[in-house]
Amino acid sequence: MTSKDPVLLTVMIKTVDLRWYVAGISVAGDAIPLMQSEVGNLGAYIGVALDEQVDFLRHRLSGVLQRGFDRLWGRQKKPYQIVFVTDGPFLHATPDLTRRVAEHFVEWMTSPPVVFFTSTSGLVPAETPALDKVAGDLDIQWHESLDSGMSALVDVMDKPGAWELTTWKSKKPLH
Amino acid sequence: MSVPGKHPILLVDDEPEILYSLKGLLRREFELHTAESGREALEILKHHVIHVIMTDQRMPEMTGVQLMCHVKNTCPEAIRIVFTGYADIKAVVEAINNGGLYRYITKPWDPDELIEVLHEAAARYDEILEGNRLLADLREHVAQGRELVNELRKQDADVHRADIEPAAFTNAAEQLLRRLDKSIQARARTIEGV
Repeated sequence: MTSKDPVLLTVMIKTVDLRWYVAGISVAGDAIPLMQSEVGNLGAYIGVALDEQVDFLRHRLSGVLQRGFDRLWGRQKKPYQIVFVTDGPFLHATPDLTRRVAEHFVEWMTSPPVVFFTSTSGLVPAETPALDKVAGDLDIQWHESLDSGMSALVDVMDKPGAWELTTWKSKKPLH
Repeated sequence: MSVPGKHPILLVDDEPEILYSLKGLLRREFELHTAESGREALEILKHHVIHVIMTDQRMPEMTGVQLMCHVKNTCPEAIRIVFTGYADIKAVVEAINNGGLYRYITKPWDPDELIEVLHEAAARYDEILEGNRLLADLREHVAQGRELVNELRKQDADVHRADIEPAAFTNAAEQLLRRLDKSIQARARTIEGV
């Protein structure tokens, strides 16, 4: 087995744009932007029942994680932990939705473990996100890495050249 | 046409991007075939010998488990793996009971671990194939032995006492054959890990 550099596989979600970004953060706090979705990619949860919302988001976000794993593998890096950060609770839904999605990933994904945050200050360039934990735990040695890595990632969020844009084929109807 | 030394693997997912990603990951180690639907996968299976088939569970028209039920009947020796994005217990149970799965993998997978799982699956295919070959050889030898004993009996009725030993031998070999047959079939049905 090859030795690969450990990173935090980080998924950031802009709830207004309904779009996601996936990136790596090294232990030194360096940001590695990987992919972003188009606006509206997460929109299919709006207007359906809570269970369906959870179902859609956990499935969609699993696919996002897979893309992150694959891109990191190509760069000789391996996720040490998975980190989700939203810029607030999912919109047009009960507050339960964010918690249920967070708990699903924390309970379901054990290798590597997951931690899920919302940023009370949003995901705004030049501002360090104020992370509020929803579920899971981050290994203490990675706290500083996450803070500096997140700041760097938020700064390049609006720079399209920094990210590979993914398109996503619709998967409806599903069994 | 198959690539010498590389196991042919069929990957099925209705998301082209996932297939593209898997191709990048696996193309050096395996001979790859890809399909974007269950129907397309079944068409490929008609024209190619596939050692391992790995499919997404959630696809329109035909689920991964439904596809594996077809594969189990048409290409029972192919090692079958289903992957999905989250815990769907109903699908897992259905897959185990009806699809005769080797593995059920959850997304996201670690690419290194996936490569390892696929190599193990390919090795399992080789084992099953080798077991089947050995069984066929043994079956042929036992049949030849039985024929020889019958020939001897026909040639000389006095050989009756002398053929007790070869007859006992062929009976024992036939028993062994039956046991081996059962054991190989049971092994092929075994489901590993979820």
